[in-house]
Amino acid sequence: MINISDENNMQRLIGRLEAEDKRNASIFKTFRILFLIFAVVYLFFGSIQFYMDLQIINFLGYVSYTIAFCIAFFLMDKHVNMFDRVDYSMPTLLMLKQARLRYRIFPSRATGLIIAVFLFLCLGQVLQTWGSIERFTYTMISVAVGLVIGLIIGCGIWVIRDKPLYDKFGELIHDLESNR
Amino acid sequence: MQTKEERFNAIIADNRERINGICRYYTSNCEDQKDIFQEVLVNIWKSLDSFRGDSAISTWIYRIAVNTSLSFKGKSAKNLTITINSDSQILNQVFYEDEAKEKQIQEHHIEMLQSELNTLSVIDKLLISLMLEGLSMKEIADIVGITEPNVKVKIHRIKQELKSKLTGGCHD
Repeated sequence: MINISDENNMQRLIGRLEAEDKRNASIFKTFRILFLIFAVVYLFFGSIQFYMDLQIINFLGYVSYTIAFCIAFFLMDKHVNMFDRVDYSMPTLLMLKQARLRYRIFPSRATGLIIAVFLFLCLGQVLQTWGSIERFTYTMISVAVGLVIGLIIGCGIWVIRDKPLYDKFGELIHDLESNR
Repeated sequence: MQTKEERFNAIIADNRERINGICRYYTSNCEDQKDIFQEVLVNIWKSLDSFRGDSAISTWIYRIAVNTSLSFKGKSAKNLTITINSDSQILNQVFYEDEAKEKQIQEHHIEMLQSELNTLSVIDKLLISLMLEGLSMKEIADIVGITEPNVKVKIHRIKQELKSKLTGGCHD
């Protein structure tokens, strides 16, 4: 009935899976290296600038960027599987609960870290524009507008694309857990 | 020492029928069956490194097949249905597990049963499909992740509902 038994098909599938494993590993490795380089470069230039002009606020701005990149590095290193991985070998009830978490409006514990990266980047930007009320105001308005627009678009996408699945998984979990 | 590919091939060779069985329950469309089957293989490959042998390999395979099929159908949440297409002997298990030989169910009765099975909720169909695969209550509980008594209660309730529908409420 199902033609996967064909040896060539099987070999092709295995080849594709192995290639995907390698590609994923390579992508995450590249991102980790990239974030680490950013962190080191920002700290290095921040230190040099601080040595030259002794502006502590400016230096703290660089430190904020560095922290943001370090968190992003940690996110890639430890939490990368939480983005799109569901373990299908779990019991169905657990798998459904895990899948439902993916479709929450704020999907996982990683969301907190992503917000932290964003906030540290904003803090860095704010500290770097410290002293100039115009640049500071411009930065704050840009950040606020960006946040609101991002939130509205994100919520819209969630309601249309993810909420039906979130509700459906909720129903299935309820059916399984009920004593009926 | 076996490579991942050798382990994968061995597992698929031993469990092909189990996977096919589950795929058949979740859709009657041949193309969809192929897609689900392929996705089950992909998920077996992805989970292979984390399989530590805590559960029987058959339970592990059933979990992946059931969960993949549920998620596959769940991608279009509105069409989350399961089609139960089984022969009359297997369907006899739903009501007549102790007296299968004595009972000769008429063809229209089987058709009615099949039609009623397909009106069940997704979870009820999931449980019945595993029962029709010949799994014990304990195995079903291990796959689904609820307690064995809970599985028994649910399957008993489903059988009662089906009997009630098929006999128009006149059964003991």
